Amino acid sequence: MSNNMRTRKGLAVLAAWAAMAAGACGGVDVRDESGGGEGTTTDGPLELAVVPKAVGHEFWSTVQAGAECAAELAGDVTVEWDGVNAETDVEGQVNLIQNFVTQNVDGIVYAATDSAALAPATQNALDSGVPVAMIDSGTDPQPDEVPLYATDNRAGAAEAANLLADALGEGDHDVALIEFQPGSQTNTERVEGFTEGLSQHGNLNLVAQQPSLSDVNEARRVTEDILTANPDLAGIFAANEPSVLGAAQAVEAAGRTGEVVIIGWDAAPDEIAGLRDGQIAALVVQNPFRMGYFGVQNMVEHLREGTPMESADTGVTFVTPENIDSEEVKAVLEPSCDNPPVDQ
Amino acid sequence: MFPVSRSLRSDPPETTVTGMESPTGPRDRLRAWLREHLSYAVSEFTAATALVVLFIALSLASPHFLTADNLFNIGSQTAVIAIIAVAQTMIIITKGIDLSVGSVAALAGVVGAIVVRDLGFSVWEATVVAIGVGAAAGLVNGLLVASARLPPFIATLGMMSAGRGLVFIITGAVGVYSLPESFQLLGNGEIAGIPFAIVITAVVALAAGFLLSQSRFGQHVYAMGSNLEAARRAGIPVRRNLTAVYVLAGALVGLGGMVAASRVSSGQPNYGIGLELDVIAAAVIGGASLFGGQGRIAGTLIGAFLIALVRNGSVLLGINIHYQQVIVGLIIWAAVYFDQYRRRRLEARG
Amino acid sequence: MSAADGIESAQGAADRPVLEARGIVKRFGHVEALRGADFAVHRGEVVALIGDNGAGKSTLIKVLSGAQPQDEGEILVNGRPERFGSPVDARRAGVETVYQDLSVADDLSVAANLYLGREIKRRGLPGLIGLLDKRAMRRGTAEALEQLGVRVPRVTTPIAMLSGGQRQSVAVARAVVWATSVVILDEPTAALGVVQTRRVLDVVDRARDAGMSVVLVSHNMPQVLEIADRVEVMRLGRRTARFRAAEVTTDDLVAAMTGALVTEPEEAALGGPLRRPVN
Ligand SMILES: Nc1ncnc2c1ncn2[C@@H]1O[C@H](COP(=O)(O)OP(=O)(O)OP(=O)(O)O)[C@@H](O)[C@H]1O
Ligand SMILES: [Mg+2]
Repeated sequence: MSNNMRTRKGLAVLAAWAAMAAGACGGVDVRDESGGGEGTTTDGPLELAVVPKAVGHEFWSTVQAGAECAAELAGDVTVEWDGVNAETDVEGQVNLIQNFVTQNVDGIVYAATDSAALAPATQNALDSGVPVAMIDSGTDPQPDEVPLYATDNRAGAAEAANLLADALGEGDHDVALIEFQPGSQTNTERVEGFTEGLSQHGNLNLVAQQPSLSDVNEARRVTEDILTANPDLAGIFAANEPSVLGAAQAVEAAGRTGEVVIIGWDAAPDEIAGLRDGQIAALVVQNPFRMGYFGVQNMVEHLREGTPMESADTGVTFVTPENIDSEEVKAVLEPSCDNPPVDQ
Repeated sequence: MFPVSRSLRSDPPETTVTGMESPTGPRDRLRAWLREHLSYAVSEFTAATALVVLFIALSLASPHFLTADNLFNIGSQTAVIAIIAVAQTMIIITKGIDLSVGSVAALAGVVGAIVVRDLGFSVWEATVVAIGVGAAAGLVNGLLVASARLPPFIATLGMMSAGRGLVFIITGAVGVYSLPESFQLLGNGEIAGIPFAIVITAVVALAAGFLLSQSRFGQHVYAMGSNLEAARRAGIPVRRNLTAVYVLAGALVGLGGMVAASRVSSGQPNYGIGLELDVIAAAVIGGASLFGGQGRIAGTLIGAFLIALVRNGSVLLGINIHYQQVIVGLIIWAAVYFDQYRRRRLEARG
Repeated sequence: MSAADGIESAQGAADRPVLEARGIVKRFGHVEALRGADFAVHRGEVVALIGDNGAGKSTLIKVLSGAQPQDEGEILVNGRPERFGSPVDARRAGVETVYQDLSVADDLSVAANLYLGREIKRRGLPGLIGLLDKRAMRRGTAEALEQLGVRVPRVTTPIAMLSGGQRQSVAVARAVVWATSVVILDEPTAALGVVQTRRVLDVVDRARDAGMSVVLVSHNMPQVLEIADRVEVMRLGRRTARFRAAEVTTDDLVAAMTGALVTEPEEAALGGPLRRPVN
């Protein structure tokens, strides 16, 4: 079991001990050793570190499932899954990546919490001969040999603006944006994509923009206050899972479900439930499974066959009450390794 | 027995009141009462003034501020922070500090959610469980501080880390969802039109304020924070009392975590990261001293609402979050500076 | 015990000391603060405990008051061995102490400090749930301070706002009003002005007149000779000399403190006959 688990400021040694003492290997520490007997391995077993931005959200658990699926299908690949507790713990992630380099894993697949701060960590890994693939969020600069398997956030968010415009129809409407982590690359891309998308619709007027800090309680609070300040608010774009959940709860608590159209992002179970209940009009759903899957699959091919890794868009799906039960959407929403939502 | 002793031990007869504190007529009595209570109230003076000024300013600046809905919203939004700040205040009075409140609140919240989802507990039973989880964490903190003699900062730093780790182990790092509607009672329910969260906060604050200011236990809490050795020499069971404070505070943190979970109808493993700073700020703005011996629940509530008003006002007025953080920082500095300035002047006059 | 059945004078006191320490050893790590210290105070007498800085006076007093239990040796109350495991034990035996560091809670009011650990609870149900009768305590405090001539602005003033002398006066008052048998004062007049010092010494006199015993630690030799019936001298963690106050001079006391004058046997047998009995 890895004992690199950490909280903010890298102070989780105690917690790791507790984890070991309990002998509990939950989703936090997973060392997948299944599938070891299959496949021909000329290069022997591989050990890959897969590091999310943070543990604790549905999204990253799906990334983990994709990564483990690819590992299982490739055979004789071990996934070391480990991450910091909060996306804001940039320094903790830098240390974590460094530790994996020190452990001399065969490859590192990770999502950067901060594009600038993690660039040296990536470079350091490459210098030590450990290849790196980025998922979800890359670094800046990003070396040529390091691919990025990610959602095109800008395009997805621009499309969210279109969805909002469609749902609201003709006439002038006030809309609000619940962003999540000002300063983070992904957040910036979604905010910019959404505002660019809005500029195509002169009848939509952005009257409020507040961050949830990826905390449901905080998302609910700012949305409540936005609703108070803007009695005529007609639509909300909430840019990640906690933001969507908090926004939907605030709208519901204000008794304005249906009056205020919510376009969300991601597909946690409660978001899907909200979509079915009519609290949420549409969800922009990424394919986190595919991120984890592509990251590990391409890394393994690179290590075993020397294939260069190339960046790829992992795509988004627009889920609405109409298409939610279709096969295509199901494969994305409930990904399983039996029927992986990847078309390779 | 020394002659004076008698008057100390038993209630002296009403008529033979002598000495400096001897109200005779109703007016004198009123003056004595005012003198005593004003000298207490003055410790919340700075923060209370700021609260009133901000309240009036926001009422003028935004037509949406002074509405029943918004005020109830602020109350509900502040409930969790206020409850946990009350807990923090008790600990700060003993010259301690609790860095683990965020982790313990998250732990209590996810456990409360899990027992409802997986074991079919009612929301009340789950609340009892959450309070128990908080109290257990508080007991560990208390034993580490009172018996193992770890500095509170270290004891609760460990709990902050261990507690968060446990949350992730228990939840598998995924939120606890799919809870029944009834789970929202504490966070979203109402009693006679008043949000339940506000009622809980009021009850907690009144009970804690009463305990601290009127009871023997409360008196001993202040004494321990003021001078632990003096308290020990006065025969106060300091180890037991100190542990009790941490247990009590932990129970409140557990309750707060349950209200937070109920409010968002889910157990969030990431809940409460950085919460300790908010609640310490509330206590300190309200006049609690990190050197122990000082702090009152009324002040802490004022501090919590002051922070809440800044946040609410910022959204109403469309002010960027980064300015909110700067404003809260300025308030902390100003509140503590003016408080110390006032105390120095009082002491100089003393 | 009350003034009525008190003993007429120290000289007529019973032969058993009301509080006695025998062969007390107290170590702090490698420091041996007390190395077989003896001490005794009889009923109704004022004993001064003197010695150079670091001689072990305060440490002995903390042992006698239960604040720091001894490593070896025994404490006897009225001739019976008692174990003072905590200050509560000593207080139960009627021993009250003013410590050198005063031991008051700065943030609490004068009244709260006077009643610290002995708060009056309200009658009936409120009392059962621990509610305080603050009025009664304020009144009791005001009365006690008045009788002892201690002046403070108000009994609700926090101790932190009092002057050094006022703080010390409150601490002395607290010990005196609660004691039933022995009052121990560790340098109670160190911070006091002439008038306040006079008051404390008056209080000591009154306590003795009321039949209590007083142990006074002081570096002020004229004061010691004026107020004490007897003097016990400590040096390097043990008792080296005992005198009747009426029979010595300041020079004798200084000589004893520096080790030039010794009245105690080097290895006094515990409880054995003394070469120079003082009672
Ligand atoms: N808590 C402690 N830890 C370590 N050493 C101590 C402690 N308390 C006292 N000592 C040591 O014990 C010795 C006796 O100290 P004590 O305070 O009893 O002296 P004293 O006679 O009261 O002196 P003074 O007249 O200065 O008050 C000193 O050497 C002191 O350093
Ligand atoms: Mg001393």
